[in-house]
Amino acid sequence: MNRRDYQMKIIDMNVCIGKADVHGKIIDLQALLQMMEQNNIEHAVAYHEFALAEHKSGNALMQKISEESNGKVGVCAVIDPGLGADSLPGEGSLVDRLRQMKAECVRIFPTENRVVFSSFYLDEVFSAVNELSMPLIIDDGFGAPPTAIFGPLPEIAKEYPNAKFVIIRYGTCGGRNVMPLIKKTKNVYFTIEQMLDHMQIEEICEWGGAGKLLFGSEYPSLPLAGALGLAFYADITDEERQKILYKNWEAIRYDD
Amino acid sequence: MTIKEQAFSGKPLSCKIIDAHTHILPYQLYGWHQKYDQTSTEKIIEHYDKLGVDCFVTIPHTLIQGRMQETNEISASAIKEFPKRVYAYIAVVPTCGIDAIKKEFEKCSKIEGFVGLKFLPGDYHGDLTAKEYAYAMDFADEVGCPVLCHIWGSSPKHADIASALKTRHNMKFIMAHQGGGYVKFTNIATPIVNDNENCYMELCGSLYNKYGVEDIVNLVGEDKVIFGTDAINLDPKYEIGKVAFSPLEDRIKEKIFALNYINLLKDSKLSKIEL
Repeated sequence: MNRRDYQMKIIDMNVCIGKADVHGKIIDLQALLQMMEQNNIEHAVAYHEFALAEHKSGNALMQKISEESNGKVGVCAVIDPGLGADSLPGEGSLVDRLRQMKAECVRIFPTENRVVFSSFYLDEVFSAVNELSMPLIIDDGFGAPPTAIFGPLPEIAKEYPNAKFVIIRYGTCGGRNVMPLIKKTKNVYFTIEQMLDHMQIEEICEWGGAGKLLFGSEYPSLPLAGALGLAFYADITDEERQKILYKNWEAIRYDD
Repeated sequence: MTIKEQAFSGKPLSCKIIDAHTHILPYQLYGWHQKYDQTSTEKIIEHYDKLGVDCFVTIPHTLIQGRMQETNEISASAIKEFPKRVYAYIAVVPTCGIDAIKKEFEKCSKIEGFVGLKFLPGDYHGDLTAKEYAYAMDFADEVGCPVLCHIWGSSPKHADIASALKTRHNMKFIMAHQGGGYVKFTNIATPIVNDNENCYMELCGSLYNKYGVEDIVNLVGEDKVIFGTDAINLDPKYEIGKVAFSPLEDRIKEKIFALNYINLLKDSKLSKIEL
């Protein structure tokens, strides 16, 4: 393990604005910026909680907040497959609107939206992120069993090779699903915040999977500190650590 | 450097650290998995050296399957092989019966390095109200040692813990997993910790708990929080991060990491930990 005398850059790509923390305090831009300052996070990518219920307004709000942040907070667009392009402000197709929003990524909630995770039902979203080579965060709810997503995911990833499918909040007792997805697919990624199998991150990196891991904290739903512990104390090279902390996200995020 | 700054630099933490909740031996049931070449006790110690962990208190995974005597034998070997790095809890399995438990207490309490007892009640080994657990808690009360008690959700029942503490004021009852693993159960556990001077809350397995360590300190006080990681079931770096990167002052982190555990051992007639 290297001892570093320099500060590593961090991009937290899984954050929510507008959600209450554990004390009921609604996290606004100022609260997020304060958290970022306290934890040396240079850039965060956030969706707005409001977008889960009122997609167009919530996404518009997130766009506005991002503009106010002077580049510190990027946009994650929330899409309801039932609404398609109408999930977003702007004009034109879903692809057009994602471009207009300057979203870094898209997030879908298949279980919340009660939609079957398949290309048949989600083609509009998959095609859009594929065209833009954009990350697609799949939020399947806390503690949801993975089989509904992981079953079809390998074929979907093949069918949309330019999309970057991101699985969040997964890993503990899940290594038997994580490893094949990392080894055998080109475009499936995982965030590390719940990778608590013993030395799971080290094992993934040993298999050459450092390029598939991302730093995402799930703030404010979960405290950031645990994910930081996993990232900063993983027994990996600093090059691998930099990939996880920011370089992988910089490589895959949408940046028109 | 502050503890947080040390953590951002990836340096082994300079403060004393006792991991009070660990498991040696690999365990692959129910989805659990550990990196195959990192499960020996020697490798665990190597890993801990890089993190700055001074020692750990363990119970081998064989306890889950109710193999009480074997568990204690494995612990005794580990303590002997790695003195002052490995300490252990005496395994208590109710289905083995009081006579067998008594024999284990007689044997293990004479071995330097056994510091307390470990219970795995609820979904694993049954109700905390079992007479064998009552016997074990009476022993712990007599010798003033810690009892590290697994609790997840409401298994075992929080009310049974509160009841056990009513008549036992010398044992040091440590509720594992922040009192149940989720905010709801931490909230239920909190008054029990606060109402009983000899009840503590241990941190490990907090990956689903929305409370940060600073929140738990606010709930039960800085002297009642015990550091544990559930290694090697879980990667210890997560809980080390939860404390090291928390906004707490360093003096409180030092209490959580080691000083609180040293303090709760001070009146025990079983082994103490030397740092």
